[in-house]
Amino acid sequence: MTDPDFREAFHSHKHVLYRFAYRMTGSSSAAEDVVQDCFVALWRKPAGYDPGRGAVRAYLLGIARNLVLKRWRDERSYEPLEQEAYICPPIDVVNVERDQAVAQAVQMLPPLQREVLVMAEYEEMSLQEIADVTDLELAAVKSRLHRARQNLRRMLAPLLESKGTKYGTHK
Amino acid sequence: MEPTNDPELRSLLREWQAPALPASLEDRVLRRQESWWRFLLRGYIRVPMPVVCCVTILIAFGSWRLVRPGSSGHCTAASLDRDTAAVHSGPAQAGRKLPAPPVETSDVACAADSHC
Repeated sequence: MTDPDFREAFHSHKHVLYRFAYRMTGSSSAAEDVVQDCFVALWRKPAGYDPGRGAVRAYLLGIARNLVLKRWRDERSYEPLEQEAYICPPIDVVNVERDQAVAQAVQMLPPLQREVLVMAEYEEMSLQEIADVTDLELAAVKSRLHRARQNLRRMLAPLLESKGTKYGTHK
Repeated sequence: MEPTNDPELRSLLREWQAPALPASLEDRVLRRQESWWRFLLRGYIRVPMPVVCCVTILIAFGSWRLVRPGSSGHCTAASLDRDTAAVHSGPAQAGRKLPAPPVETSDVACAADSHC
Protein backbone atom coordinates (compact mmCIF):
# COMPACT_ATOMS: atom_id res chain seq x y z
CA MET A 1 0.00 0.00 0.00
CA THR A 2 1.46 3.33 -1.05
CA ASP A 3 1.41 6.45 1.06
CA PRO A 4 -1.33 8.18 -1.01
CA ASP A 5 -3.47 5.01 -0.87
CA PHE A 6 -3.12 4.91 2.87
CA ARG A 7 -4.00 8.58 3.24
CA GLU A 8 -7.03 8.15 1.03
CA ALA A 9 -8.20 5.15 3.06
CA PHE A 10 -7.73 7.16 6.24
CA HIS A 11 -9.69 10.17 5.03
CA SER A 12 -12.47 8.03 3.57
CA HIS A 13 -13.09 5.77 6.55
CA LYS A 14 -11.91 7.56 9.68
CA HIS A 15 -15.37 8.93 10.50
CA VAL A 16 -17.16 5.58 10.12
CA LEU A 17 -14.59 3.83 12.28
CA TYR A 18 -14.65 6.52 14.94
CA ARG A 19 -18.46 6.57 15.16
CA PHE A 20 -18.57 2.78 15.35
CA ALA A 21 -15.86 2.58 18.01
CA TYR A 22 -17.44 5.43 20.00
CA ARG A 23 -20.87 3.81 20.03
CA MET A 24 -19.38 0.46 20.96
CA THR A 25 -17.12 1.71 23.76
CA GLY A 26 -19.00 4.81 24.91
CA SER A 27 -15.69 6.65 25.26
CA SER A 28 -14.09 9.08 22.85
CA SER A 29 -10.54 8.35 24.00
CA ALA A 30 -11.06 4.59 23.63
CA ALA A 31 -12.57 5.20 20.19
CA GLU A 32 -9.52 7.25 19.18
CA ASP A 33 -7.21 4.44 20.26
CA VAL A 34 -9.23 1.88 18.33
CA VAL A 35 -9.17 3.97 15.13
CA GLN A 36 -5.46 4.56 15.45
CA ASP A 37 -4.80 0.85 15.97
CA CYS A 38 -6.95 -0.01 12.94
CA PHE A 39 -4.91 2.19 10.63
CA VAL A 40 -1.62 1.10 12.14
CA ALA A 41 -2.66 -2.49 11.41
CA LEU A 42 -3.50 -1.54 7.82
CA TRP A 43 -0.18 0.26 7.39
CA ARG A 44 1.90 -2.53 8.89
CA LYS A 45 0.13 -5.41 7.14
CA PRO A 46 -1.44 -4.11 3.96
CA ALA A 47 -1.40 -7.65 2.59
CA GLY A 48 -4.04 -8.53 5.18
CA TYR A 49 -6.56 -6.66 3.06
CA ASP A 50 -7.79 -8.77 0.18
CA PRO A 51 -9.82 -6.67 -2.30
CA GLY A 52 -11.52 -9.86 -3.49
CA ARG A 53 -13.16 -10.32 -0.09
CA GLY A 54 -14.85 -6.95 0.12
CA ALA A 55 -14.42 -3.23 0.55
CA VAL A 56 -11.75 -1.53 2.65
CA ARG A 57 -14.50 -0.24 4.92
CA ALA A 58 -15.63 -3.78 5.79
CA TYR A 59 -12.02 -4.82 6.38
CA LEU A 60 -11.32 -1.87 8.68
CA LEU A 61 -14.62 -2.29 10.52
CA GLY A 62 -13.69 -5.93 11.06
CA ILE A 63 -10.41 -4.86 12.69
CA ALA A 64 -12.22 -2.24 14.77
CA ARG A 65 -14.75 -4.83 15.87
CA ASN A 66 -12.03 -7.24 16.98
CA LEU A 67 -10.23 -4.50 18.90
CA VAL A 68 -13.41 -3.38 20.63
CA LEU A 69 -14.37 -6.93 21.61
CA LYS A 70 -10.83 -7.57 22.85
CA ARG A 71 -11.06 -4.48 25.05
CA TRP A 72 -14.41 -5.60 26.33
CA ARG A 73 -13.03 -9.05 27.20
CA ASP A 74 -10.01 -7.50 28.93
CA GLU A 75 -12.14 -5.17 31.00
CA ARG A 76 -14.93 -7.61 31.86
CA SER A 77 -13.44 -11.04 31.81
CA TYR A 78 -16.12 -12.20 34.26
CA GLU A 79 -19.00 -11.44 31.86
CA PRO A 80 -19.69 -13.82 29.01
CA LEU A 81 -19.54 -12.27 25.55
CA GLU A 82 -22.22 -14.51 24.15
CA GLN A 83 -25.48 -13.29 25.64
CA GLU A 84 -27.83 -14.01 22.82
CA ALA A 85 -30.91 -14.44 24.95
CA TYR A 86 -30.14 -11.59 27.35
CA ILE A 87 -33.19 -9.46 28.08
CA CYS A 88 -32.34 -5.90 29.05
CA PRO A 89 -34.39 -4.41 31.86
CA PRO A 90 -36.21 -1.09 31.28
CA ILE A 91 -34.06 1.92 32.06
CA ASP A 92 -35.01 5.00 34.03
CA VAL A 93 -35.64 7.73 31.48
CA VAL A 94 -37.01 10.30 33.92
CA ASN A 95 -34.76 13.35 34.35
CA VAL A 96 -32.51 12.14 31.55
CA GLU A 97 -32.16 13.81 28.18
CA ARG A 98 -33.54 11.72 25.34
CA ASP A 99 -30.19 11.34 23.63
CA GLN A 100 -28.58 10.28 26.90
CA ALA A 101 -31.31 7.72 27.45
CA VAL A 102 -30.70 6.32 23.97
CA ALA A 103 -26.95 6.23 24.58
CA GLN A 104 -27.49 4.43 27.88
CA ALA A 105 -29.83 1.91 26.28
CA VAL A 106 -27.44 1.14 23.42
CA GLN A 107 -24.57 0.75 25.89
CA MET A 108 -26.62 -1.74 27.87
CA LEU A 109 -27.04 -4.09 24.94
CA PRO A 110 -24.76 -7.14 24.93
CA PRO A 111 -21.76 -6.33 22.68
CA LEU A 112 -22.65 -8.81 19.95
CA GLN A 113 -26.14 -7.32 19.64
CA ARG A 114 -24.80 -3.79 19.92
CA GLU A 115 -22.34 -4.10 17.06
CA VAL A 116 -25.00 -5.40 14.70
CA LEU A 117 -27.41 -2.68 15.72
CA VAL A 118 -24.83 0.10 15.36
CA MET A 119 -23.90 -1.05 11.88
CA ALA A 120 -27.51 -1.42 10.77
CA GLU A 121 -29.13 1.62 12.37
CA TYR A 122 -26.35 4.18 12.49
CA GLU A 123 -24.13 3.21 9.57
CA GLU A 124 -27.02 1.97 7.41
CA MET A 125 -25.14 -1.14 6.34
CA SER A 126 -26.99 -3.96 4.64
CA LEU A 127 -27.41 -7.29 6.39
CA GLN A 128 -24.94 -8.86 3.96
CA GLU A 129 -22.32 -6.19 4.69
CA ILE A 130 -22.78 -6.77 8.42
CA ALA A 131 -22.43 -10.50 7.88
CA ASP A 132 -19.15 -9.88 6.02
CA VAL A 133 -17.75 -7.68 8.78
CA THR A 134 -18.80 -9.93 11.64
CA ASP A 135 -18.04 -13.16 9.80
CA LEU A 136 -21.50 -14.47 10.63
CA GLU A 137 -24.23 -16.21 8.71
CA LEU A 138 -26.94 -13.94 7.40
CA ALA A 139 -29.51 -15.67 9.62
CA ALA A 140 -27.40 -15.01 12.72
CA VAL A 141 -27.16 -11.31 11.82
CA LYS A 142 -30.94 -11.09 11.41
CA SER A 143 -31.50 -12.84 14.70
CA ARG A 144 -29.12 -10.56 16.61
CA LEU A 145 -30.57 -7.45 15.06
CA HIS A 146 -34.06 -8.57 15.93
CA ARG A 147 -33.08 -9.20 19.55
CA ALA A 148 -31.25 -5.88 19.78
CA ARG A 149 -34.29 -3.97 18.55
CA GLN A 150 -36.52 -5.91 20.89
CA ASN A 151 -34.31 -5.02 23.83
CA LEU A 152 -34.13 -1.37 22.83
CA ARG A 153 -37.91 -1.15 22.49
CA ARG A 154 -38.23 -2.60 25.96
CA MET A 155 -35.66 -0.22 27.47
CA LEU A 156 -36.88 2.88 25.70
CA ALA A 157 -40.61 2.14 25.89
CA PRO A 158 -41.45 5.38 27.77
CA LEU A 159 -39.90 7.40 24.94
CA LEU A 160 -41.69 5.59 22.14
CA GLU A 161 -45.22 6.46 21.13
CA SER A 162 -46.27 2.86 20.57
CA LYS A 163 -45.02 1.62 23.89
CA GLY A 164 -43.83 -1.86 24.69
CA THR A 165 -42.07 -4.22 22.38
CA LYS A 166 -43.38 -4.52 18.90
CA TYR A 167 -42.09 -7.93 18.18
CA GLY A 168 -44.56 -10.20 19.86
CA THR A 169 -43.35 -10.51 23.45
CA HIS A 170 -45.47 -7.67 24.88
CA LYS A 171 -48.45 -6.16 23.15
CA MET B 1 -36.35 -14.20 12.76
CA GLU B 2 -36.61 -11.28 10.32
CA PRO B 3 -35.54 -7.94 11.76
CA THR B 4 -38.56 -5.71 11.53
CA ASN B 5 -38.06 -2.30 10.04
CA ASP B 6 -38.91 0.08 12.81
CA PRO B 7 -38.91 3.76 11.74
CA GLU B 8 -40.05 4.96 15.15
CA LEU B 9 -37.19 3.26 16.94
CA ARG B 10 -34.77 4.37 14.25
CA SER B 11 -35.71 8.03 14.59
CA LEU B 12 -35.32 7.79 18.37
CA LEU B 13 -31.92 6.13 18.01
CA ARG B 14 -30.76 8.91 15.69
CA GLU B 15 -31.11 11.39 18.52
CA TRP B 16 -27.86 10.04 19.93
CA GLN B 17 -25.11 11.62 17.87
CA ALA B 18 -21.49 10.61 18.04
CA PRO B 19 -19.07 13.48 18.73
CA ALA B 20 -16.94 14.89 15.94
CA LEU B 21 -13.68 13.21 15.17
CA PRO B 22 -10.86 14.90 17.14
CA ALA B 23 -8.28 16.66 14.98
CA SER B 24 -5.48 15.10 17.01
CA LEU B 25 -6.32 11.69 15.56
CA GLU B 26 -5.09 12.67 12.12
CA ASP B 27 -1.74 13.67 13.60
CA ARG B 28 -1.53 10.46 15.57
CA VAL B 29 -2.23 8.23 12.59
CA LEU B 30 -0.53 10.00 9.70
CA ARG B 31 2.58 10.94 11.63
CA ARG B 32 3.12 7.29 12.53
CA GLN B 33 3.91 6.30 8.99
CA GLU B 34 6.46 9.05 8.40
CA SER B 35 10.08 8.16 7.79
CA TRP B 36 12.32 7.52 10.82
CA TRP B 37 14.41 10.66 10.39
CA ARG B 38 11.29 12.80 10.39
CA PHE B 39 10.13 10.91 13.45
CA LEU B 40 13.44 11.73 15.13
CA LEU B 41 12.79 15.40 14.52
CA ARG B 42 9.08 15.63 15.25
CA GLY B 43 8.01 12.42 16.91
CA TYR B 44 7.28 11.62 20.50
CA ILE B 45 6.90 8.43 22.48
CA ARG B 46 5.04 7.55 25.59
CA VAL B 47 7.28 6.17 28.32
CA PRO B 48 5.84 4.36 31.35
CA MET B 49 6.44 6.14 34.66
CA PRO B 50 8.33 3.25 36.34
CA VAL B 51 10.82 3.27 33.46
CA VAL B 52 11.29 7.05 33.85
CA CYS B 53 11.92 6.61 37.59
CA CYS B 54 14.45 3.79 37.06
CA VAL B 55 16.34 5.70 34.36
CA THR B 56 16.42 8.85 36.54
CA ILE B 57 17.80 6.89 39.48
CA LEU B 58 20.43 5.22 37.29
CA ILE B 59 21.53 8.56 35.81
CA ALA B 60 21.72 10.16 39.25
CA PHE B 61 23.74 7.25 40.63
CA GLY B 62 26.08 7.26 37.62
CA SER B 63 26.65 11.02 37.92
CA TRP B 64 27.37 10.70 41.63
CA ARG B 65 29.92 7.94 40.92
CA LEU B 66 31.63 10.08 38.32
CA VAL B 67 31.95 13.25 40.39
CA ARG B 68 32.84 11.48 43.67
CA PRO B 69 36.51 12.36 44.64
CA GLY B 70 38.98 9.45 44.35
CA SER B 71 36.59 7.29 42.48
CA SER B 72 38.70 7.13 39.35
CA GLY B 73 41.40 4.71 40.65
CA HIS B 74 41.32 1.30 39.15
CA CYS B 75 43.74 -1.46 40.08
CA THR B 76 45.72 -2.39 37.02
CA ALA B 77 48.72 -4.62 36.67
CA ALA B 78 50.90 -1.64 35.80
CA SER B 79 49.87 0.35 38.86
CA LEU B 80 50.46 -2.66 41.11
CA ASP B 81 53.99 -3.14 39.69
CA ARG B 82 54.71 0.55 40.23
CA ASP B 83 53.57 0.37 43.85
CA THR B 84 55.59 -2.76 44.55
CA ALA B 85 58.72 -1.20 43.09
CA ALA B 86 58.24 1.88 45.25
CA VAL B 87 57.90 -0.22 48.38
CA HIS B 88 61.12 -2.11 47.74
CA SER B 89 63.18 0.90 46.73
CA GLY B 90 65.21 2.72 49.31
CA PRO B 91 64.85 4.20 52.77
CA ALA B 92 62.23 6.68 51.72
CA GLN B 93 59.74 3.88 51.95
CA ALA B 94 61.21 2.36 55.15
CA GLY B 95 58.30 3.38 57.28
CA ARG B 96 55.87 1.60 55.06
CA LYS B 97 54.78 -1.82 56.19
CA LEU B 98 55.96 -4.64 53.93
CA PRO B 99 53.91 -7.70 53.28
CA ALA B 100 54.63 -10.53 55.69
CA PRO B 101 57.00 -13.25 54.41
CA PRO B 102 55.45 -16.63 53.69
CA VAL B 103 55.47 -19.02 56.61
CA GLU B 104 57.31 -22.24 56.01
CA THR B 105 55.63 -25.36 57.28
CA SER B 106 58.81 -26.68 58.91
CA ASP B 107 58.84 -23.68 61.26
CA VAL B 108 55.52 -24.64 62.69
CA ALA B 109 55.85 -26.89 65.70
CA CYS B 110 52.93 -28.56 67.26
CA ALA B 111 52.67 -28.76 70.97
CA ALA B 112 52.64 -32.28 72.33
CA ASP B 113 49.18 -31.99 73.75
CA SER B 114 47.62 -30.27 70.74
CA HIS B 115 45.51 -32.16 68.25
CA CYS B 116 46.99 -30.69 65.12
